[in-house]
Formats: sequence, structure tokens, C-alpha cells
Amino acid sequence: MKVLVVSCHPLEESFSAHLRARALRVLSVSHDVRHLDLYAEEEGLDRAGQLAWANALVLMYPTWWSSLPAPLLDWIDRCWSARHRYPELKKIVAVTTHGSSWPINFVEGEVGRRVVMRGLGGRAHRRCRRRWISLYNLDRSTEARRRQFVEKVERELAGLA
Amino acid sequence: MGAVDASFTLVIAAFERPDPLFEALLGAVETGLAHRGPVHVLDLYQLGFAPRLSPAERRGYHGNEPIVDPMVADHASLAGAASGMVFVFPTRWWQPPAILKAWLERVLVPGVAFVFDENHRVRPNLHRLDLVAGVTTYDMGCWQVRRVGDGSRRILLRALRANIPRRVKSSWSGLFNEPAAAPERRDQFVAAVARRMARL
Repeated sequence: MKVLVVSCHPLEESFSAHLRARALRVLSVSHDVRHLDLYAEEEGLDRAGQLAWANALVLMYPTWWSSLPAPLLDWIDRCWSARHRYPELKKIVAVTTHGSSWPINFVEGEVGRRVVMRGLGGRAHRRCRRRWISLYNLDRSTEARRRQFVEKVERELAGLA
Repeated sequence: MGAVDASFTLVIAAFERPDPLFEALLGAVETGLAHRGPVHVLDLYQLGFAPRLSPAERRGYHGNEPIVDPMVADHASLAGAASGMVFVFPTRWWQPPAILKAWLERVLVPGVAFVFDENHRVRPNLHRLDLVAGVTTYDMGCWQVRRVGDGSRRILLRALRANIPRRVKSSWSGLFNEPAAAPERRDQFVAAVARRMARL
């Protein structure tokens, strides 16, 4: 599959960056992978073209203020066309971490999840499969829980089809 | 926080000019809120507010220095002292513009909007706020917004309001399907916003 990975975290030493490196390694074993790092500030990329090319989209980001980080909102705003569908896009996977706990995110309304799963998912192929993989309470997580989460993400992405 | 400061309302505007509708809305908000006391407008695009959290800001986030930019420091002290926050912006893709989302991420940091307690749980810190309001337009119809959920409204009226230690007044005004709105509907919306603000 043609997989577009869009990642968004300002720090190279972060858990998100570690997760992203592991995910890219697993995905490139059996897929044609392109990676867009929204913090890399590369010039001259055809971002809308990248999106039109992909059969699968993997979004990797930290959830802040219940939603996607600002550069990812900017990417959606610029690259996604409001009045078109993306019939080539048959799979959407979101991998995200929440600093706060599940109940807090539930009360806040899971804005990011709704936008990715229902919003973007609704513009993709009619039978687009959507997968949400998230770690809550990152701010108070243990090393073991984080490692388990990395393994879970690797497992899920290795089985991407 | 110095108790001597006069109470004022902070208006956070996040729209690109020229935009006749939003310029009219911002005017209606400013005049409508005048009865609450002084109104301070932060026009994020005009200020050239950086629309992303920087690596240095993220590094300082869980330490003692989440604020490194002098403009952000100004905005943070305004946010801590304001008695009301009113946001004026277009909603696209169920979300506020990146520049406004970045304002929340960069300005409303630990020590400003909330503090971490000894168990690293978030505790609300916006003690002076008694009003949160949003004025927005949507790039799609009501039904499509409801299907996904109104992200802008949830971020501001739920996630942000969770950082205020008591129940406060809130208000939301939205114009659905803005691209297709006739001039009369726009004028009606501006008038409705002016009336709503005057009642707050």
C-alpha cells in the first residue's frame, strides 16, 4: 500500500518522535511509505499531491487542548479540499498521546478523534477503515506502559492492510 | 495577580483581513462589550503571532519556563488578569484556525491557565474569568457540523472552561454555511452578535 505518515511534534527527543521512528520502520518493511514531518519545514513539497497519492494515512501527534496540534490543523486546512472526496484513501490510522486521563478527554468531547475519524474519514473512500490508537495519561505514565503502547502501535501497523 | 488592575475583557481575534464580515463582527463585539469595562483586542494575524509551539516552548512546558517569547509573555499576563475572554474566528473543518489553536497551546500554559499539583494532575488557574464566549462562522451547514461535532465550541466552552475554578457564563454565536450566506443573513448575524454581547 501507499502509506502517507504525517507526524507533528516539536521535539526530536520526545516520546512521540520515538514512536514515529518505530512506526516508520515497521511500515517500510511491506509498504511504500512517504513521511511528512510538519515540524521539519521542508520547502517545495507538494502536500496536496502526497495526500492524493496515498491509500493509507497514518497521523501521529500529541493531543493538546483536546484536539490536533496547530500545524496539523493548518495541514488539513491547506491540503484537504472541502468539496471533494478522496476515494483512493482506504485506511486512516491515528496514533496519539493524551497528557490527561480518559475521563477528562471524554468530558472535553474528544474533538481530535471526531475530526479525524468522522470528519476526515467521511471524506475518504466510502468503506474507508479507521483505527484509533491512543495512550491516555501520558504525563503520569510508567516506562512499562509506554513500552506496551509502542509495541501495540508496531503490532497494529505491521498488520496494516 | 495584582488585585488593583481594573477589570477588562480580552478579545482574541483570529481572522485574515480584508474580511468585511469579520471586521463587522469584531466591531460589534467591541462595542457590545463596552458595558463590561475596557476591552482589549489581540488581533493574532496583525500581531504576526507564530502559529506553532516551538521546540524551546515544548522543552520548558513541564519545567519552570514554558514561556520564552516576549509577545507570549504579554498575552499570558493579559489572559491571567482578564475578567472575560471572547474569541472571534472562522471555523474550518470543525476546528479553530491553526493560529488560534497555537494561541491556546503557547499562551495558556502551566502557571497561566492551570497548574500541576504534586501528583501531576491539572488544577484550574484562571481565577479571574467570569465569561467565555465565541463568535464564529462555519464553512458548512448545521447538519454537517453536528455529524462530526462542533470542535471549536468544545475546545473553548469545555476544554478551556475546565481551567476556570467555578461555573462561569458562556455564550456561543455561530453562522452556519457562511460561504453561501446572503448579505441579509450576514447583517442579521452581526446585529444578533451585537445584541448578545450587550447582554453579557
